[in-house]
Amino acid sequence: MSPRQIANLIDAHAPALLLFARQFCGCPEDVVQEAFLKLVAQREWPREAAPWLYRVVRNAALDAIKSQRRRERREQAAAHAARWFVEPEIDGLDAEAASAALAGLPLEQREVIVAHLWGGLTFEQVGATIGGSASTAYRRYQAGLAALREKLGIPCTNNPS
Amino acid sequence: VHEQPELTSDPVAEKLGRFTPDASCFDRDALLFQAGRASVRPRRLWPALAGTLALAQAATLLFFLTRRPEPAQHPLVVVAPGPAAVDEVRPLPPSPSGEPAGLAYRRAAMTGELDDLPPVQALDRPVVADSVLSVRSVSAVLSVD
Repeated sequence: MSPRQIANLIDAHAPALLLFARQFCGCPEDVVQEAFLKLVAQREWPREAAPWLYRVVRNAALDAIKSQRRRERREQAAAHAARWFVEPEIDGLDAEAASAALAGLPLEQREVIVAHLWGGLTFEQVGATIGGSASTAYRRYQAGLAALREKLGIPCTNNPS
Repeated sequence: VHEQPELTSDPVAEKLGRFTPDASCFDRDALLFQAGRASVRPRRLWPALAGTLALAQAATLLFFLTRRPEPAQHPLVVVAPGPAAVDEVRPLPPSPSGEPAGLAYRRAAMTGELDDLPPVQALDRPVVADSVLSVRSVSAVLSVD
């Protein structure tokens, strides 16, 4: 793999991977960087790099949580203070409010929403990443969106009731 | 299966999806540098070859240092006994006719005049049987010049 390809891959997936890793731990930069380095060190390039990166990031973040729980708590507090999105608001939706609503979701819903919404992974890929099925990922995604809709006060156009 | 209908159908997903994840704290250049370093495959051929040769050298040196010296091989010299010294033979007394004793014997033997043979004198030290027989010794014994 050429340096240009690696740079393109970083540009395309690093921001969403950071947001994805941020759902688990307070050191998303380290986890994402390690994932990319692990990808580069692979003898055989994975068939689909993006799902592979999400899987590695998730496992590394979970390991970090298990091994360094005390440090994680401190970094988690710092992570909440960190900015999650570039834009301050979009169409009246405040970025901090969106971040807070997202952070208030259960982890199993958050990871699916981030991987699908910002990572662009299909539900099959998300299911493989979380170690479940596509149906499981889809159910969690819908449940998370419903919770976000309620937290942010945005009515669903498909289901106004 | 479930492809992304939510981005257009759900307003929450549509709004949230337009937010760009912040990666300002992410050092892209440092990651590229680290990736470049990580992508270099270590060349193990030459270190392995050098290590093998060094081990062989050390083994050879150890072998020569710990080898017990073998006893020196002395050349086997066989000393053959030299020719036995021929004792000086006392010459026979001249025959009555004045000719040498050897010739007198020969002549007497050829003509049958055995009575004219000079008397035989016993040798003090007869020649041993295993002594080297040479012309000189025979001549000396027979007093033949």
